[in-house]
Amino acid sequence: MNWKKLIRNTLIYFLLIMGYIFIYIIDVESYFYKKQDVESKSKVNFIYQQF
Amino acid sequence: MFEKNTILPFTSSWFFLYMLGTILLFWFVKFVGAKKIKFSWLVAFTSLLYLVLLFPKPLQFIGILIYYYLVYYLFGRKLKYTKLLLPVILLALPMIFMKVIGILPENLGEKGAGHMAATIFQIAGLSYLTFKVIQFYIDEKDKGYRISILNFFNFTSFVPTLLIGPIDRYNRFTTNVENGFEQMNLSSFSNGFDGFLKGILYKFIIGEAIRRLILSHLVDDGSLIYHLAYMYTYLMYLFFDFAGYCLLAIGFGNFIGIDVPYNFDEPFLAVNPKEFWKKWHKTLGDWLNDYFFKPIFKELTTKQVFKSIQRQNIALFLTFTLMGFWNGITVYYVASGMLFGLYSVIHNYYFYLCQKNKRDVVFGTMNPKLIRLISIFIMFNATAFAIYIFSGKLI
Repeated sequence: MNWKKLIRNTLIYFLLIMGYIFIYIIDVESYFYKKQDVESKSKVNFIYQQF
Repeated sequence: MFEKNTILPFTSSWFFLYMLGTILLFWFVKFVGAKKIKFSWLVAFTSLLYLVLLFPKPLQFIGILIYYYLVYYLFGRKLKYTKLLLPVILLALPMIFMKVIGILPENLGEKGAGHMAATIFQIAGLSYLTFKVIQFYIDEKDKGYRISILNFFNFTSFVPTLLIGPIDRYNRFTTNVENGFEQMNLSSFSNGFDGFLKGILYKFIIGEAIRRLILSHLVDDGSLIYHLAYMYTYLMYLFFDFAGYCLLAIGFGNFIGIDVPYNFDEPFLAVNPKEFWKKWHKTLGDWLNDYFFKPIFKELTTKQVFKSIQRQNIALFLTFTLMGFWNGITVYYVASGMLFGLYSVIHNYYFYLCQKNKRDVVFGTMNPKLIRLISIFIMFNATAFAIYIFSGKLI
């Protein structure tokens, strides 16, 4: 068994699941910051448009 | 809610639905109708479907493609024009228009000619498209310009790399497409899955977490701490977002048996600018090297002006300045490009002095591992500063 790959994939899946839960379901940002001064869109999306 | 012709690659769930449909279609045809349907036609069909249904300004995009093919056909095939400068300028013209329109006063774009020009030329992905067609034209010079419209369309409109690369090469891409369904196997699918998952993690989890939790909430009080925090956070955000996008493109390509060149490979471990551009946006670094640096250096060498080291440094500086202009005609993009150029010139001169003196003129006999660590530290911070300029926060 390729242990390195197994550990890497486990870490990726773990971060994916936890990240999805914290960022998109629980919306952890709203717990940290009271004011919703979030930028309306990503700066990089703007850069994409530019290119 | 689905809105027709508003969806850029990897930016909406509708795109991912399109991607899933495309992958299923390719695998279905591989097992059911591979003898009847050519791989290249399937690539063209799925690209056209995306352009017509999802991509913003499909007519303008197809119009620009027709223009590019006409330039290619007229200069390359019909007139057998041997010089490169004029066709290359004509190929770059739509992108130049797009960049110039971008700096015109905003009210000019509301009516009349300004508005019309913006409607035509402000097309997402046009800069990357320009790089592809210039490469394509120059490389085909020695091969007699025999490229079919189908191959041209497939190369220029390949959906995963349509918006921000990686910048592929025509010969590599076409060989891949010619191998067709044979390249679609469990290994390519598995690679696709790996790239795709890692891309999602980079772009939508780590990149998004950095943006939502840190970058969006940094309060600009003008202090040095703020500027430093923004500099490092923006660098990390840009890396995870951009590298994530490229991994998604690689994953999508691999799912349907088409390799997409990698663009990022541990860039923050680079020890010098030369290595950095092999690790950060590699396909852009390679493109600039092949189609801008080398021709300028060759031209300077032919004319026998300046010493060799000066010729190298001039060509390096001009190359990165061009990169700045390519990003956009604004002070911060150009300044960032020039700064990267300056880094390369300094490193090149340092390397020249080391060779000339047959010793390391800066680090002397210091432990190589320590030199490596210091070099990584310097390069990382130099990059962070140049990207900070690029972000437009400082200037």
